[in-house]
Amino acid sequence: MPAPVLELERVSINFGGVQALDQLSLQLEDGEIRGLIGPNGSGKSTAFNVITGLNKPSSGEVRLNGRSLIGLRPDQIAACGIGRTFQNLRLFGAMTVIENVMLGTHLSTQPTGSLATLFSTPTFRQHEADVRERSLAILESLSIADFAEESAGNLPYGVQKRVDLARSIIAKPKVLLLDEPAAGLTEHESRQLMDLIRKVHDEFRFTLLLVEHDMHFVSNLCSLITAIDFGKFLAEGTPAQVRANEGVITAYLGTGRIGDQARRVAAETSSTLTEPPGPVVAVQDLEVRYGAVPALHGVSIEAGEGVITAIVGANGAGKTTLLSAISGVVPPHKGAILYRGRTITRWNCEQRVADGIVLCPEGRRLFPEMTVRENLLLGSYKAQDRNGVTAALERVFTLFPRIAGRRNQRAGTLSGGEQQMVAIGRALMAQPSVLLLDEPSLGLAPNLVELIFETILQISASGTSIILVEQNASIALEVADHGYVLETGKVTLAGKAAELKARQDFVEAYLG
Amino acid sequence: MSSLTVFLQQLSNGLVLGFLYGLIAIGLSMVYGLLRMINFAHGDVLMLGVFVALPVSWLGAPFPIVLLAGIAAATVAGGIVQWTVYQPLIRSKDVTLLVASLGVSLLLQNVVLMLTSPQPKRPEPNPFLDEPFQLGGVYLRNVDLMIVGLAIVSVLCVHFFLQYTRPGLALRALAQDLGAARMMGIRVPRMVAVCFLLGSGLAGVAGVFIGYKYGHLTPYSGFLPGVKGFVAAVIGGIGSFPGAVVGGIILGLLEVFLVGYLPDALAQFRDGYVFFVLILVLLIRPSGLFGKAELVKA
Repeated sequence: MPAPVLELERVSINFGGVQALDQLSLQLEDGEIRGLIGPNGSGKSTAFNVITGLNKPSSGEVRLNGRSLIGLRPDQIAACGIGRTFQNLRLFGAMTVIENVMLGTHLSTQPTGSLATLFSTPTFRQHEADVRERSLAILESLSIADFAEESAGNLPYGVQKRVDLARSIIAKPKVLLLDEPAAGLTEHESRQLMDLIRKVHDEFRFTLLLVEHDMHFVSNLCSLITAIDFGKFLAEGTPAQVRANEGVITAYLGTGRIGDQARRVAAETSSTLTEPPGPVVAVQDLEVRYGAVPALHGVSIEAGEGVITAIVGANGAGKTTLLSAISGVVPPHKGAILYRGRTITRWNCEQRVADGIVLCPEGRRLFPEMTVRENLLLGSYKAQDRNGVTAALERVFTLFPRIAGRRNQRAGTLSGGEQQMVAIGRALMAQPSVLLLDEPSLGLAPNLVELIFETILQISASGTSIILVEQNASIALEVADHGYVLETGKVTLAGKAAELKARQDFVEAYLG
Repeated sequence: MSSLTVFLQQLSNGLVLGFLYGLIAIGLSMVYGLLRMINFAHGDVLMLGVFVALPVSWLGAPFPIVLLAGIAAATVAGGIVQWTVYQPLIRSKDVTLLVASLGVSLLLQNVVLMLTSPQPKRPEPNPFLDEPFQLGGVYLRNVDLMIVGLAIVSVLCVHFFLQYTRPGLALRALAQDLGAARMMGIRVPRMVAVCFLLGSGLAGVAGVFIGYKYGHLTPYSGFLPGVKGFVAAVIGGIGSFPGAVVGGIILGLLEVFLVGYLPDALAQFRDGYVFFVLILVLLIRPSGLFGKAELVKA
């Protein structure tokens, strides 16, 4: 086996008690395209940050061609030949495309001194002309040479992504790290990007490490995929091997083990419903954009009264945007949102909360400086009946005994699982008739995920309608009544959750 | 006078001045905590409050009425500025709000200048407030006692408001995560207005007392107290309510002691030292005493 170009050896790093990377080892061969996958918060970006020197590992080694990179500054590591792109674009919007790309050479080639630069000597001008020519050639390879003189900020998102790529290639990196290059791109754009990456890879022969949630993208591009979870190595192999790997399916699709008792409770409730319930929330033809980036185009869903509706899909598919639009946090461009038959599209967030549509947001969004009790009380901010608030508080503490004993502790000091309980409890304090849950299992250990989902079933059994957004599709569809699959801002599949779960093509569509 | 008496005298003077700065800093700090905005017009709202209180005092109204008039005027002025200028800009960049507040500051100064005159004015002397008293060799006037007393009462009221009432809880939530506060159903514009009204009212209290203590009021009188209130807020950690009060007291003491103990030739640059302190704080501990280090994402 040839010596690896880039090697991570048992790298560990700890952020305030959270083990972001746990003895992670990784070897990249010269010229290969490797995919790095894993659920949110599994440590992929941290791995990138360790390689590029932004985070210092607490133990372990990072080597480039056998030479240790530990202790080097990010700029020194970049100068060694490691380039990267960022998850969110960091282009200089006011500069032209070619200027942005030329900046990428700033580190690697500076043959002329600063005095030469200052006085613009012939050598410097020659160098400048060379760089410009090379930049143009790369823009040509990425088929964006036409945009060379336009300012980067005005270009469509897909083009900006390519400019970013061009900027990282011009420095002639030995190893290039791409952080979610396909995020925010439409299916068509991401297919184009795939071809372009393959093309420039053939041309420049760098080693490529790719983080991406779009499994289709990764599977098509990479010869080998490494899967990590909780900062630990999970699996490695060809795309087919990794997709068939039990551990990976579990990390992405969940174990699907929900407590029998909770399931029975849910079954009983659904059997007591005599007639099929009408939709409590209906979304019609919804379109949402963030600036120029379309997040949802023409999404229509219906959420039944008193049941759980699951929305699943890959990262960046628009799940969170959909929930944000229903809760009124994000205004839609087109389409309508109906709540019990009334159009609420133009209502603001406060009105919707007062009327019983309550969001438990992604990432919990607790108020870290406040106590658990104060956080919960804020949930009932809109409640008129003050006695009801005390009762609701007791109900939440009964539902989550773990946080009852910590009611006077600051929310920021709780563990992730406890914070998630407070977040759900806070949403329940508003006594919602529709509860919008955004990724309740995110960043939680498997056993806590189970506990949270059992509680979700209990909440549903008490008559609250729930719209559930989850990356963990398997477990979400297990508890849900109906399911929708979102893909790049569109509903691609819909139906009874049990049927969706049973269909193998669903797994295929989801995992790519 | 023994050196101890001198020290105690300076200490008392510093405390009185510090409480005035603290009252001004609270409004600035709370607004910053909510909107990440430095309200340059805060001092001018204070000035406007005094300029409404002045004619009330000339009419012979008793001190409490004059004080209430000043508070009411400052509160209304602060509310109007927030409603007409800041609220429409609330979604724009931080720097837009900052520049807008500079504009409002100049506007308020010039409107008052236009309606009155650049002649310095003072409220009708109040014999009770001006009456001096002596406490262990320290000479103070009743107005000084009044400043400290009312400032402490105001601070306690605000503390109880923030800590134990529903709108107070909402305000604190808002300062921590505006987006999440909206999801709780908190009406953000209304709470921002509450914050402005509260801060402006406290500035009104400070303004009337500045009038009685120093006299000599011009349309520009609000600017420097406003900026010093800002320095106090930064020392205490901008965005923090206790920080604003403590920062005010520290700044008042520093200013008085520097002026008192430096040779005369240097003592006259008292405002210069205040800004020197500001620069030092920003260099050494930019998050202030009670503030938290904040990562600003580019």
